Amino acid sequence: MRSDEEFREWAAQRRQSLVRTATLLTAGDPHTAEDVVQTAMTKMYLAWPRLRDVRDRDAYARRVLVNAFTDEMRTSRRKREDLRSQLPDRAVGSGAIDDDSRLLFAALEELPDRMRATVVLRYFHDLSVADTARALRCRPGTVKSQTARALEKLKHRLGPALRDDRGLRPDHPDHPRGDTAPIPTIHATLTAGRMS
Amino acid sequence: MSDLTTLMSRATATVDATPAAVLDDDVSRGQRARRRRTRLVGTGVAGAFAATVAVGAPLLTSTTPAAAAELVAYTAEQPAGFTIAEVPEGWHVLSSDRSSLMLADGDDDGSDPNSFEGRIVASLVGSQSLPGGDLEAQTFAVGGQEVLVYDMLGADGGPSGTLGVFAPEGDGDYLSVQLPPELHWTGEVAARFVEGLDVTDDAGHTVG
Repeated sequence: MRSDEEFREWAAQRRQSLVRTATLLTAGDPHTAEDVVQTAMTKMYLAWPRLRDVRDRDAYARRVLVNAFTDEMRTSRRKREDLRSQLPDRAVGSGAIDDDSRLLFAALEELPDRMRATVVLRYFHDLSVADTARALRCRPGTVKSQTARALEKLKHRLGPALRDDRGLRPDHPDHPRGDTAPIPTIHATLTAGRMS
Repeated sequence: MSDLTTLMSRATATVDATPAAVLDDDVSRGQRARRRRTRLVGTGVAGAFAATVAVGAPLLTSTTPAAAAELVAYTAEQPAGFTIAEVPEGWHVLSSDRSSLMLADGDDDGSDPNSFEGRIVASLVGSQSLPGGDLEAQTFAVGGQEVLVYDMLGADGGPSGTLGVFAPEGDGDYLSVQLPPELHWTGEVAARFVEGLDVTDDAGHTVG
């Protein structure tokens, strides 16, 4: 079927990026990230006949990925009784290849789900406030406030890592290709036009 | 100077390219989901949604009557303000603008464009438009959100057979969809139809 072939071609190009995004959304849990992506891919398949425009496809993919993530988090929490005020220890996935990554995943895990999704879409996907609001189905003002609060929390947890100079530059040939783009440092972000 | 984007990119750099077998599995899962959808409407098996019936819920049946309209893929041009995945078989877009969408069956000639009778009407509304008072809703978990399905009252104050579906759109907004009794839909099918309705960026609140 031609439609299946087109879907498969799109998936071949975009699935890796969706897994990366889901890995950040799940704060480094590769198994849950894969579950979330599988759910999103099924939604994409069902919606495929009406997603003719490439931009529509990518925007819809982001939306169903976030929805699948939110649903997964809600479901997993319903399954277990929370008897602790502190986050339980959890094995970090294979994506945590260095201490900075472990620290990043730990910091992301401390953010509420929607706030984490906001900061991932804004800084990993480099989406505008408007596009992030569309993906999360909320108002731009909500994105701005959630981003500001997330950055404050991340800045507190990641201060040393954010001032670390060991990371690959975004234009480095080994830098992973995806929806990323260089942005100002956090210190500049909190005071510059990024929030508008 | 490292930044947040660089940290995120580095932390996910080990995610490998997608093997062909994984893509095959994605397609297979999609095909199975599509077949399940078809069976859901065709046979009345209500397995696609997790339904929680509210206390004192109205008389929405859990089985699909034989007369129920079947959902089919929508292949015509998408209307303004909304995107549609599926429509009842034989139904078409009668009108659409930034604030509302109206669908009608093949026998509807479009006369009296202000009448909602026998037609599907969708619009973006605020939370103040949720039915209140005595009406209880069935809730369906759809796409990570709880969709509310009400059995609306008629002019005589009794159940009219019309379903009112409200799907959260964020920040207190809801996609409101009125489904006429001619469809003979259960809450499950109503929720599935609304799951396939998306509000685009062009959509605006219904005024009045």
